[in-house]
Amino acid sequence: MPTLYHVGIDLGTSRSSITTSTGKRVSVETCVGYPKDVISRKRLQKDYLLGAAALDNRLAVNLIWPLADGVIRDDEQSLQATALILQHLLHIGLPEKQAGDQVYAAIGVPAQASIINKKALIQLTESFIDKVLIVSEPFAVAYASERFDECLIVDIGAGTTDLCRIHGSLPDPEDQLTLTTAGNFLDADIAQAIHKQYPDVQLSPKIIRNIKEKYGYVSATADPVKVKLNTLGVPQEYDITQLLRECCLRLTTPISAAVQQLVGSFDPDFQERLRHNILLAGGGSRLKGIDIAIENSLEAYGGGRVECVQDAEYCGCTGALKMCMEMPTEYWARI
Amino acid sequence: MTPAQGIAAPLTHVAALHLAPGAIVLVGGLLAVKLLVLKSWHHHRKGRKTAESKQSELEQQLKDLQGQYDSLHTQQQNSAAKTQPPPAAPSATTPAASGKQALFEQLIKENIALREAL
Repeated sequence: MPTLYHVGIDLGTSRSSITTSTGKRVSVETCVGYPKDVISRKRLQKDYLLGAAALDNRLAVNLIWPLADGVIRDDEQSLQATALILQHLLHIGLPEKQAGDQVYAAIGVPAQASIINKKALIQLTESFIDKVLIVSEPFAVAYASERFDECLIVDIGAGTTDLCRIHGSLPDPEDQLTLTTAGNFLDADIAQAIHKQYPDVQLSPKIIRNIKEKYGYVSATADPVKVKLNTLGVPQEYDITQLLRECCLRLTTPISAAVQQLVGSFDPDFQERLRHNILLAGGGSRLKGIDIAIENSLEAYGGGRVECVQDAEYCGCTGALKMCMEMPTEYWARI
Repeated sequence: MTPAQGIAAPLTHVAALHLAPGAIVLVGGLLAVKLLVLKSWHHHRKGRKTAESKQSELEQQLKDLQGQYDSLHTQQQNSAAKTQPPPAAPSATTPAASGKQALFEQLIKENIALREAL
């Protein structure tokens, strides 16, 4: 008898994650590497490499990041790469899946993803997923933490920061905001600031990401941030304490303004409740002090309470899976 | 007086002297027990009678309330039938039920609309 599997997928600009009804959860970099030439093809013995394998061989491959600003780029190669990543996620998430087994999936997309993009995702998955449900990523976060009443979700990803007001029903367009001020923006800003201060320093996306993830902060006080970077191959220690804080603040300031905008335009009877129920998710929620910074930005509004989710990486896909599993069969039959 | 009486008299006297208090105590005890049993039986009867009357009283109250409820329910139904607007077409934004069921309904509708736009 064929088995029915449920999966929740968070298709992110930088990383994509899957959680399955078998209890497995996996995360991969959202990138595909195609061999650059005949020599690299011969060495790699593959038509393409996925995720970490592609990054490890990035000098020998043409690296494709198929998502930009949280959505699939509108070109054939990106569509093909997205399909490959989704198939790879299913393959490693459900290794026990046999031919004939069925997969029902809920895929999280940015709050303001266009209809064209959502349609593209449905068409892409038709051949290897039996039923696909497209859900707003911040709504999936709310679903994971069962926060349905007057809650503001702020999902800070790599490509986009999605803000979404939840008030007991599916969010309307005016309840959602998508900013491109997100993780990748911060990476570029940190690289630019370091180069401005130390022009000869050698940087790579991986080095910048490591600095951001390990030291990123917006709190008023912090330990000195001293990192070892190469200058023409020679490692030296550089103090980037102040520089890093300024960059991180350039990320959090527009997010705080967006929070203020969604709070300020909400029904006045429920604004206080909304201000005291703000949930930060996504990789950006791991910046030290970001919760306090947003709380401080709400002082003029009467104060607020901001929390960070415990499981920033898998929170979205866990919510999508939960939705998937709780949805009665008759609803699935309608799509 | 017969000889037997003459012989038995002192014995009877002695027996009466020794046994009389015991017999009195025994008879008294039996009387007390009987009184207690009677009293308890009386209480039991009385209690039963009270419980029975209380139960019938409550049954009557329940019947009255049931009658009141039926009458109010009928009135409400009549009034609702008079004021109910004609059935409206289902709306995409109106939650069909409460809680998650309504969310699923909305979510499915959105996904169907998305497919129809294909």
